[in-house]
Amino acid sequence: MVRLALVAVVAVMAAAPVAHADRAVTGMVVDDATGLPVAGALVTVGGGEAATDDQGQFRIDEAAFGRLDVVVIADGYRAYFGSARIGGVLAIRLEAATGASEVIRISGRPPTGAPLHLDTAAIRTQPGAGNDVLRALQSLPGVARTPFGLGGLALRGTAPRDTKVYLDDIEVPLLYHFGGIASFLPTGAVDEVTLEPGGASVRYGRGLGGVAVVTSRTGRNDRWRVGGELSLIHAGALAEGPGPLKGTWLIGARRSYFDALIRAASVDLVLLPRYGDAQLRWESGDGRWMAILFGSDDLLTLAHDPNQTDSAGFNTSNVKALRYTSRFARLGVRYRTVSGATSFEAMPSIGVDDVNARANHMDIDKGLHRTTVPLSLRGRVSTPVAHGTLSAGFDGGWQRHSYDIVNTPPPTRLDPAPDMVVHRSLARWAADAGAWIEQSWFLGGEALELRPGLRADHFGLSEQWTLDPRISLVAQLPHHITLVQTLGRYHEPPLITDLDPIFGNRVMLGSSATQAATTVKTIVGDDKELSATVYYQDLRQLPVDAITAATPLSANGGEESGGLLGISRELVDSQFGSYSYREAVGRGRAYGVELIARRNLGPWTGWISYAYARSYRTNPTRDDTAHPYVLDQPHSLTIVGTTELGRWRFGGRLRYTTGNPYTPVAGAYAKSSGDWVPVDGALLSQRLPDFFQLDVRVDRTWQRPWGTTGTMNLYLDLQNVVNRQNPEGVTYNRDYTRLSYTSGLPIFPSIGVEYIP
Amino acid sequence: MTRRALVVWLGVRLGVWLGLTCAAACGDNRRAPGDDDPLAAVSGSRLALQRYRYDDGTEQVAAGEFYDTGLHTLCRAMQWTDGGVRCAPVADDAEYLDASCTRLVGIGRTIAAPTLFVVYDGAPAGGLVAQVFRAGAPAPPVVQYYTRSGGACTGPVAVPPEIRRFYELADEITHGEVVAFHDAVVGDGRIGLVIREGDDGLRVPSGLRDRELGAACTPGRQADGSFACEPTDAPAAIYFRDPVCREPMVAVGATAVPAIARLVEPSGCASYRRVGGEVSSPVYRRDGDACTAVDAPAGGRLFAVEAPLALAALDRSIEAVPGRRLQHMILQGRDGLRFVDDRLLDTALAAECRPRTLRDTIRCIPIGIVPATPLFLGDSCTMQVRVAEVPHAACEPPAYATTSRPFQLRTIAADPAPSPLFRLDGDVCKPYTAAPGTEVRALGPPLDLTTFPSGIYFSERTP
Repeated sequence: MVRLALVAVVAVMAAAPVAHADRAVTGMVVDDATGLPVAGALVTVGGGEAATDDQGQFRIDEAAFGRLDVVVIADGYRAYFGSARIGGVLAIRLEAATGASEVIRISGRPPTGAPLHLDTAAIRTQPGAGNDVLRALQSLPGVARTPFGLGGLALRGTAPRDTKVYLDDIEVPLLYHFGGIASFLPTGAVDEVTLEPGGASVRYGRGLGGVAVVTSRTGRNDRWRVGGELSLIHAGALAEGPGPLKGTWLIGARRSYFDALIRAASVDLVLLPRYGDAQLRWESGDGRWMAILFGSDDLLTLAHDPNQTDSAGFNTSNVKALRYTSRFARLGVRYRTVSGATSFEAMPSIGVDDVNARANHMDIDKGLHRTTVPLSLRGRVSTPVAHGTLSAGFDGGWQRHSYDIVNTPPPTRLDPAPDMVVHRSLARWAADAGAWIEQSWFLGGEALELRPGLRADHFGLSEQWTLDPRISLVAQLPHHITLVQTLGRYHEPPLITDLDPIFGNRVMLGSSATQAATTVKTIVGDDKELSATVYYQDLRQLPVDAITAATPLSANGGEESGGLLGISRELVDSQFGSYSYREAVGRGRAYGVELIARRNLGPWTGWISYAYARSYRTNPTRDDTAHPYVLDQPHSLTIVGTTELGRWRFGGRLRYTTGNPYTPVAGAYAKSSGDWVPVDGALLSQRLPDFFQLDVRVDRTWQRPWGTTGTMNLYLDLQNVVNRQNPEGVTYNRDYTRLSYTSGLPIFPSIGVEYIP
Repeated sequence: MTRRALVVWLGVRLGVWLGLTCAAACGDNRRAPGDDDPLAAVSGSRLALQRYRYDDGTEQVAAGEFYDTGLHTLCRAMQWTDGGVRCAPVADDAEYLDASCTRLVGIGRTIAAPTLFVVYDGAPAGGLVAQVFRAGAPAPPVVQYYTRSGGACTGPVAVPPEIRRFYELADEITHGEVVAFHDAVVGDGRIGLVIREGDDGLRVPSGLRDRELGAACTPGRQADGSFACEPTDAPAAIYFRDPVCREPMVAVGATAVPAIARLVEPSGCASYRRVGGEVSSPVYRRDGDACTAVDAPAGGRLFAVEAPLALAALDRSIEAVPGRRLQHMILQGRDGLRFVDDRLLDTALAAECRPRTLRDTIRCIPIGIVPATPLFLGDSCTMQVRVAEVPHAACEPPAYATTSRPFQLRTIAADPAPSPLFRLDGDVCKPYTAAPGTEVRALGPPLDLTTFPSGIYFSERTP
């Protein structure tokens, strides 16, 4: 496998460079009122900067790939904020400031960007991703593969709950509709997604894993445009146009409809999922103000005739009703400004999360209702200090949690085998306050960037203070090679879902991690990126099941059972909880190597990534031996490639990963009732067969259909085109003498049409 | 920095990282000890081993019972009427309905939903398996049945009234559908380890064999505290041919004359002696310290026994697995053959134990438990007291006694029970006298059964 990866990397490197070999961003800065050029304006694009000439024009070479922040500062004008990409030709209009200000060059450069990034076009055309924002990230190195294409970003051996995802500067509580059917927002509303699998700066906290940042797209303001998407499972519309303060609106809405199709089929005892999401975004013309409102709404109901006692041969008389809703909404306002050499940015936000699951089983109503109202603020200020740039910020907020559960409680020390349905509830406030400070020095003519930082947090749920020192070192070596080294501490608060009121007023400590990583990356031939990363993570105070009513195998869905159920529990951990009594005493370690060779420009684009990654856990309440984490996938290889032939675009994705571990059945015994009870083998000591999947995608594009200015794109995304039966879990017969695999998705078509205005 | 130097520098840097990564990864995929041990028990493709697993993680193989994953039933190695040894299902029996033993019916004695029935042939030397059938539909009640024994049809036998479930028999399970066993003796020295091997690849140590004595043997404690391999199936020599009980004899009822007899010495430990020639003489028996004349056993033949045999010595050591309350005991012959005793050492109770089912729970219960005797303190037999009658001398003195109604386990006190004691003989209260050679001890309070480590009894599944 390693050899195959190396051969693939060599193949990519050998590909001819693109003809233009130009990584420049150019543009012109003019006075908004007069249209005259603004000379001497300072334009920063990503890590590069330039001053405009007498014609107001600027050019910045050797720009990095991906989305680049643009800031333009000129004497007598208000600062301009925007974004650009390689090849971008910007037309920037500056508004006159009411009071004169002095232009001072900001010392140093912004911190080095995240190495893994996907823009809208890459997401739209990625085979196997089904036009989905966050599922596209799963093809990047360092991201564990999840069964059935379910959602969840498990990065570098950490759990999905450890990864923080932000839309702009607002933390997103629920990334996917129903755990993976679709992301919480459409691709058309996204400008770029970046992924930092580890080594995040002190700007980000309360997470042990990496950080994914989704940047929303700024609408165009020349006129109103309306586009949309129609696929097998959902339809959506997106509008953009001019707004107040010379700004722009971006309005989107999406709803699934396969629940209606299933209803029309009149099938009894079928789960009917329905999801929807909506986005409303306004940004001022100078980019200083931005407001965003977004939300998601999932509803799952059971189509079941209560008079029916049998469906498809199964006795359904015990199931009377099931209804599950999961909703969230966030409203945030961002303000940013530059005063002299000091820049400031703040994003206050408010929201609500609501999860409500109700079921009637055997005439007993059971359910869970959890509501969280978060108020948060993220803000930062940067200013030149001590021959460098000092940045400091606040990242915290308050949450009101209310919890109401009617169900059989999980086993506890007091009651290891509960069998009564108990109603319990709680309501509490928790404040998470985080403050950080980071100093960036450029040494040796900017050949070396040293960035130490310190973050302090107080976790309301665990009533715990934490201190996270982190440092990164970025060295610009000869031959355009960049060496990045990071070392830092990370802390994460406990989940509210771990605080079942049945446990009483308990305080559960958060988890901690120490991360170290070294990355070597370079750009070859102006169109290819190469990156190699070696990392190690030490994880402490991880939540582990301290009490189980039985063995991991017979405790249905126990994380330590592994396979499909174990992974599923990890994926819904932050939403529903583990429904077990956990203590923060677990330990873990993860290490690995990640390689990616990526071609961003030219007739063929795509990447080849290989990762050797190991992740282990120890549950001291069981014993002191380390066992693989449920998403431990030692080898993973992904090859993604797309090419354009006229109006057609063809692409393919090949994925190979080592099979996930599971706990084998070492034995079984029959109870007096005749039911068989499995006996665990060594925890997570067996593996499912290796996973292999080939996806292909075909896009057909029509420019200016019906005489409009937009683009119509028809796509066919075929997942698992060879229809390989990839085992994703194990099941057994009654006395556990025969094991059979639960196969993953068969060949799965995703067809849709998207109009991009 | 030249490109070459840079490559070297980066290579060294990444190499250090990779080295650390490799070092951290070392130790994975090690083979478990015993993977290649030819003496270790392994399940076959069809038969799964049965094991005990205690709460502390200690595991023990049960050598006598297996799980047939093809027939989905427990089974035991038994001899069949054709002479073969095969794994016969643990199932209720099927018996004949008619005096000519031609029509069979399954009798639902113990299993609620039987899937198989076994037809036995009560041959003179014990039951042999004749046939195995799958269970059929419920059958009309039966009040009597007939059995086949050595080819003859005998009966009728009355069906106990509490048995109400009867079944027709469906397909017969052929000999080829059950797993056959053969035994192999491994080890080059005097003591050989008997390995039972199934046709499906199952392998399990099932006993020891003393090659010099030509007998199966089992580890036993000797008078001096050492261990030796004591012949099994040796009949007890309880008679003497002299009035001072110095010349032991063994009475044999069966046609086959045993080669070795067992004699309990005054120390309480046993000696083993080769069986000599048939004798005819007055018969005496020890009665405590006395030697009294008794009648010769009816229908039995008497044989002299010779001088004590020198048994094969065994060295015993205790495993020391950290964190485990129960430890295996390892026995080793003088020739180096090592094997695991079927007893465990309960380090918390300092007692050797074996698995037993108490109130539906498997527990490792100390060996040498004697039944308690209900007696009375006064001559009116109204104040009951539970005591244990234990021998004056015993090689492994019992430490616990069981009571019934209610079932209890109690420790045997070191002090003698209060006296005088009385027993009820019908409705009459009579003074109680301990059997010769025994003493009556008081019992401690009932023990909580959780005193003894619990576990499960399961059939192994091979991933």
